[in-house]
Amino acid sequence: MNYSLKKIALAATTAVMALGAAGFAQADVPSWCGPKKATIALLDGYGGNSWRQVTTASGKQTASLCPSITSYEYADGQGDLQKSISDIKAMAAKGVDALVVFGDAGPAVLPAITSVFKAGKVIVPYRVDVGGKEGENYTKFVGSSFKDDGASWGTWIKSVLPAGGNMLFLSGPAGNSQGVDELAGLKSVLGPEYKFLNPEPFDVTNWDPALTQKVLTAEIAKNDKIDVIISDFGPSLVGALPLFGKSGRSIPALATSDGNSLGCFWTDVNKDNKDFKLFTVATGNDNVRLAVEWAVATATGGKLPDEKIFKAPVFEDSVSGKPNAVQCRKDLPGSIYLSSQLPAEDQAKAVK
Amino acid sequence: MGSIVTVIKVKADKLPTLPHGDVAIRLSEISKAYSGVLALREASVEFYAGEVHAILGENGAGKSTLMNIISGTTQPTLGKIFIGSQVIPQMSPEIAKSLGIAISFQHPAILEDLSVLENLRVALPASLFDGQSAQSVAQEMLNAVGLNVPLRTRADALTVAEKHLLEIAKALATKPKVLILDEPTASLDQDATDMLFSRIRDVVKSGTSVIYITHRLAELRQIAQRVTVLRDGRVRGSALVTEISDADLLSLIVGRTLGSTFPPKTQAKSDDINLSVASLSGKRFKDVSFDVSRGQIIGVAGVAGNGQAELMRALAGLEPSKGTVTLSGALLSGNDLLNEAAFMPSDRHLEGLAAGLTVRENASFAALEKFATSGIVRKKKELDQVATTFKSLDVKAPGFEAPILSLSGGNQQKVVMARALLSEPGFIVADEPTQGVDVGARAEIYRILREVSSSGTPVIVNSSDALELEGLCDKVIVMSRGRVVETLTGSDVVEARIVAAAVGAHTQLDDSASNAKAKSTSGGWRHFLQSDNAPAVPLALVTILLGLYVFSQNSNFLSFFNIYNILLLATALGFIALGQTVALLMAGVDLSVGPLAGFLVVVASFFINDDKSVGMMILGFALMFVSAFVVGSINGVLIRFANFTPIAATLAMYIGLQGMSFILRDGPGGYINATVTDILSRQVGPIPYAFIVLVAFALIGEYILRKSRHGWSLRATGSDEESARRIGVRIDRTFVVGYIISSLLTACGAIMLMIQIGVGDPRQGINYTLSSITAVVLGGTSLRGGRGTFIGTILGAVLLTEVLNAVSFLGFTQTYQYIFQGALIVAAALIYSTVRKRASA
Repeated sequence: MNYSLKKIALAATTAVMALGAAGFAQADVPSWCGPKKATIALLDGYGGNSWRQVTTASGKQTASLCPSITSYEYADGQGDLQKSISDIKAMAAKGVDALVVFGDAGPAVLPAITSVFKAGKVIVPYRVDVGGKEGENYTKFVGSSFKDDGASWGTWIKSVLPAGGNMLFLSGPAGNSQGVDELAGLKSVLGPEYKFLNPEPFDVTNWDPALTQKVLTAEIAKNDKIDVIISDFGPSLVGALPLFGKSGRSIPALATSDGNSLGCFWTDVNKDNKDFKLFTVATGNDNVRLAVEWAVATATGGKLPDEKIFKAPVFEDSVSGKPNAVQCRKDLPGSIYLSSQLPAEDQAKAVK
Repeated sequence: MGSIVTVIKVKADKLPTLPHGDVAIRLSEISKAYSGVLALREASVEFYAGEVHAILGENGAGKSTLMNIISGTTQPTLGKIFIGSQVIPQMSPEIAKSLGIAISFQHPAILEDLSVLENLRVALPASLFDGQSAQSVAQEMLNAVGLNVPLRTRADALTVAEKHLLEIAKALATKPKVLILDEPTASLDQDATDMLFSRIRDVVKSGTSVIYITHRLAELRQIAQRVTVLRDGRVRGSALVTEISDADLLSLIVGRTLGSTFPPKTQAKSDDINLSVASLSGKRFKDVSFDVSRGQIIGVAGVAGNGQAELMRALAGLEPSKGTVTLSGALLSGNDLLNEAAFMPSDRHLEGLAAGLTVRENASFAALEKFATSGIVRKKKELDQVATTFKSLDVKAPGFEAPILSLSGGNQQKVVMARALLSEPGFIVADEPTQGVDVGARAEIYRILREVSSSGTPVIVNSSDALELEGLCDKVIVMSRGRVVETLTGSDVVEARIVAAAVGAHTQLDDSASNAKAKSTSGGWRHFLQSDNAPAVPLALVTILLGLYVFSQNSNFLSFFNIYNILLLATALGFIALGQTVALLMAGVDLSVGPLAGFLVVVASFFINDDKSVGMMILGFALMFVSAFVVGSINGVLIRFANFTPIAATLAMYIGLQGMSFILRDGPGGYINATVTDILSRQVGPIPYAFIVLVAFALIGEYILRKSRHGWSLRATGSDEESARRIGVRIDRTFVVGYIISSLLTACGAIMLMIQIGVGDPRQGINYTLSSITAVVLGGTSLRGGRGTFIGTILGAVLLTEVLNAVSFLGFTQTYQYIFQGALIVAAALIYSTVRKRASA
């Protein structure tokens, strides 16, 4: 299956998404699915939000495409490093052949991953950089091109604010590698006329909507002029954005990642907020698909995927309407991601 | 009044030839102020070697303050203390001890979480136990006061009388130069009192100066040579006991002559029986029957410990009983008893008062629903009722909202009575209502009880003072070995008959004493169930059963790989939980352990890397322990010297350490040296060496906790800080050292965390605070301090880690993972608490 082609098809129109999913079920056995029987487990460091639920469902759906996979297991570290380590080791001890790991704790889970790899298992960490080396600490690391996301945002910001301006950049926990990479991408495009109002490297939000609201409230009060907000978790901003209206200001331009609640929010309020332009990259639930493909291919003896890194496509642009205008499905929960390959209705089931 | 003082002084002055020994201790113009109120004013007293010097005075007269100053637990505001001719500039419990001053407190400084033997060993100098086995030395001490309980019994199982005897045994054991006895006979029966007096005479003969505080004039005549009376913090007079009459003494004490202490008895010969007890049996009493007619007060008499206290508790519905209790024609069930009876307990500090509440709250909390309209208390009604009751009881309190402990003993007891009356009870059960109450207040209490009785509410009074029963009661039942041996009425209610009836049952008493001894030797298993280590057994069982169950589902669970992984993870938690155990044993808590572990790993990540020299790496390890030492010291110092609560101090440290970690590293970095990791994670079979070290630490910790003075001091501090201070434990030092040990053990855990995560990450470690407390509590250590076990803690840590592993093995969904973990912890806790309950039953 050609991964990037599928995505282009998906990006063209949301209507195709449902058809695409129907196509999945009837597709032939994908090339990454080999003949050897194997079991697979997906391990989350912290599985308690809708993004993870959609991701888990995506991973499961991908694995189900390969008939050689006899069981798919899941464990949630519950935000506790000790449990994450225990989960990884227990899954290996139990006899699972391939492990796909979202290593929230970063390099701190590397020793556990390494011990499992040395015990002869296939282990594929993805998205969060855990350090270490391929073939020495793990089978394969399937990262995401966060720097590209940053560059995409930067290019768009340049197009809507050609003369420069004041920017606010929010990311997750202090020091997380994703935010650092995104910043590098932003800086590769934007010159010094684009000023960051936040402390280096970004405002810390832990990707937690409550903390995001607190941080954003403080920044709005502190800064009279904010021209653009950049965030790598768009839906978490929705709670705080109305504050601009309350202080008699327009919501500024937003470069971020997608989410149904954000799209619907924009649809509702953009008429009253002349500066509220929205640009999103796909939020990246599909990162897990590539990781599962790598793990399954290695464990079952299938053809290794061509892609080594997940590239999140641009999803919405309220200015150009390309590749999509802003999307909103009012009939479905706000906590789903219309950019995901997993059909919106299936996501709605997963986040219940 | 003043004239009497003068008269006595003259009398004393006229006896210059009075034979007395050297001055053992002299107080010169001692004053003591508590927040502006003078508890003692310029008190000067001399105590001579080789005699018993009684101190008399009402509660609040300054007697306890005087004793506390002599024993060093309180510092005088002004004045000097001389021992011989030497001035003691700063008295402390340790100095007092070294000078040969021993004290037996009215409220015994007994640590309830320690065994009888440990109570003796922590309070007494080690030299007393030199040479022979500690058991035999301690046994002799108990024999000397006639206390017959097994040495390993936990002190919370002792009766009030037994605690007093133990307290006296401690005081006598040091063969002191000055022996202070504060109300020693308050809860003792006649035999024990006689035995105590003969012991006092022995020590006086050998030259000891005995300072004897009492409320009982009769005792004073029996034992003391000299008497000093205090009132309102002033010395009102001193005299030889033989030279002063009871009437003079009484007028010195209360400042007025008491006419008759007891109110007149009921005259009505009523056949109107309003309370009837028939064939009541329960724990330590059997087949008790009596009737109470309208207007009568019933007394319960006997040698202490013959079932009277248990009978009173059963009548109040506090303990189960068989038989019938009928109140005004209605049969009462156990629950009815609880509702109808107003119980005035003998130990008001333990049961009668809520120390944290105000005077008003203590008086009214049993009756709140009577002041309430649809569940909301009407404050005005409450205040009015309390005010009326206080007035009729003559309660002297600085205000309704004053803390209850600011009142004198007699007034505290009146508040207990006020509560009993406000709840408008069906009948009143008063267990030793005048224990520790001064003469003036006693008369008030007698009057109130009589008034209540006359108004038609039956009153039952248990007292170990036969004279009191003679004066107060219309009818007295005398108990021996749990049975009623005599019922006295009318003119037969006299001290001589009561004592004769109680003493007449002597052979039976001996019998029961030997039974008790037999029980104590056969109770090995029972004793184990009461011990701190008992929770380890059910915990180990749960751990094994869970392991076997998961094994039956997937045989890989007991593979070397998996067992090794579980134990390695448990080792980090285990070390940190050992540290937490130390904090909890001191009735503290150490919230900073989690961030400290994370911080220490961050520190290590700058030194223990692949490219560093051995010297640098050793420096890294050293810095981890030095940092831990500093953190522990700061925690301890904040708590002891800056008045932080343990939670506040260690929470501040928690936040501070988090910040420090982020200052050192804003993200993960500094990979830990692979060789170090390899060495520290080596294993023998499925067991990591590090885990063996952990178990060794726990065993050494257990030994120190049970067998050394440091361990006893630690547990004493946690059990009851005030008592521990009074017996001379250095609380401040114990606390600071305890917190340092907690931090150092956390440093050991941090090393294990370091090899687990392999990198310096400022975000890690925090979870250990909560999981360490969980492991410790699961292991059976009490959150209230004083009792705990290192072995249980290790098992708790292993079980927690095993549960984490098991939920992955069993493939539970997220929801069930949480439920399973929670349910298992609850199950373990339930098993353990059931075992403990059974042990104490």
